[in-house]
Amino acid sequence: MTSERHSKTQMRFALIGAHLREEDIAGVSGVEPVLLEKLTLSSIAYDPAAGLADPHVIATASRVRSELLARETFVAIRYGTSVTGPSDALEKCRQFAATWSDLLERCRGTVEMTLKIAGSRASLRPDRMAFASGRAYLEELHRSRSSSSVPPPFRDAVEKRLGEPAVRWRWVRRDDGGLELAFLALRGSLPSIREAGLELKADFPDVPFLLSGPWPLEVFADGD
Amino acid sequence: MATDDRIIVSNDEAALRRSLEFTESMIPERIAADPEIVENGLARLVLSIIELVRRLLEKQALRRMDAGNLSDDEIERLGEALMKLEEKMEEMKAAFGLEGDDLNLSLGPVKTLEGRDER
Repeated sequence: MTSERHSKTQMRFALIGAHLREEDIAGVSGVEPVLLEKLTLSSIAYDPAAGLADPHVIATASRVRSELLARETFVAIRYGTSVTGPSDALEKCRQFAATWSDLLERCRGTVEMTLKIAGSRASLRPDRMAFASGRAYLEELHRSRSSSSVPPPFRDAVEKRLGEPAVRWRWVRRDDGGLELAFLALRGSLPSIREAGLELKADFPDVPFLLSGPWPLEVFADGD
Repeated sequence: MATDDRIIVSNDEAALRRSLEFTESMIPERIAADPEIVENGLARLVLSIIELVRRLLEKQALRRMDAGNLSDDEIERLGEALMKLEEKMEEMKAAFGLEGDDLNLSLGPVKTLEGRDER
């Protein structure tokens, strides 16, 4: 993110991620670095007249993100976060620096994976007319959102097969009664994760799920 | 790790696709000049945004319940506020002849109001 290469008045920068070490992003084509305390942010320059929806900008962001992930673990910054230059980037990200730094120290060498399991029912809401108190209504709303239509045997099998390669995991409820499992895994365990996914597919042919990754830190970037 | 280490394993893809599919945009791309249609189109747009805020408030309330940092009094007041908000929304939807699905705001290629992210 240097003024020699881009006029600040002409270009904006789409932030890609936060990285523990500067060498984690060095040499990746198209990446503009900016230092954030102990971290380095990666970004790509784009013409604001074309905008972030420009296919070339999206393709560049995707390529850069993929190449950066191949290098080392980083915290993903949601696509669409753009800044005018280094000072703007620091202003927007300074508040997260300590959290990201701690997270990247702890999670270096891991990647994030997700397993989405589709729900089999529409979201059921309690009938507000049936409740005399706000507390009873909110508790029933909470209960209805906490339930899942995912078959317990499938969930057990997921924890058994993916629990071993997973360093940490977190179940997340979906509004449709489905579930998402986000987990961190060591990079070297990707082949065994793929194998576990294929076993789940063979053993539970009727359960709609999607196992995907590796991803940079996103779910786990929200903290515990 | 190489850049082609991507893992994608899925099962029952038709059901999965139905679960994750995006709905068509409910916001009219153009608002016709007919006064009644204009009123209805704008109402749908405004109510969609109010519905988005209502759902965010609801999610936040449930998240705070999960965290266990709400007092009994706060739970009662939040629950009552959500009930009244839902009731008002029902009244406004009825006034403009709108159904719940009419307010499922499409947020573009990433997600809908009902859906989650693309990952």
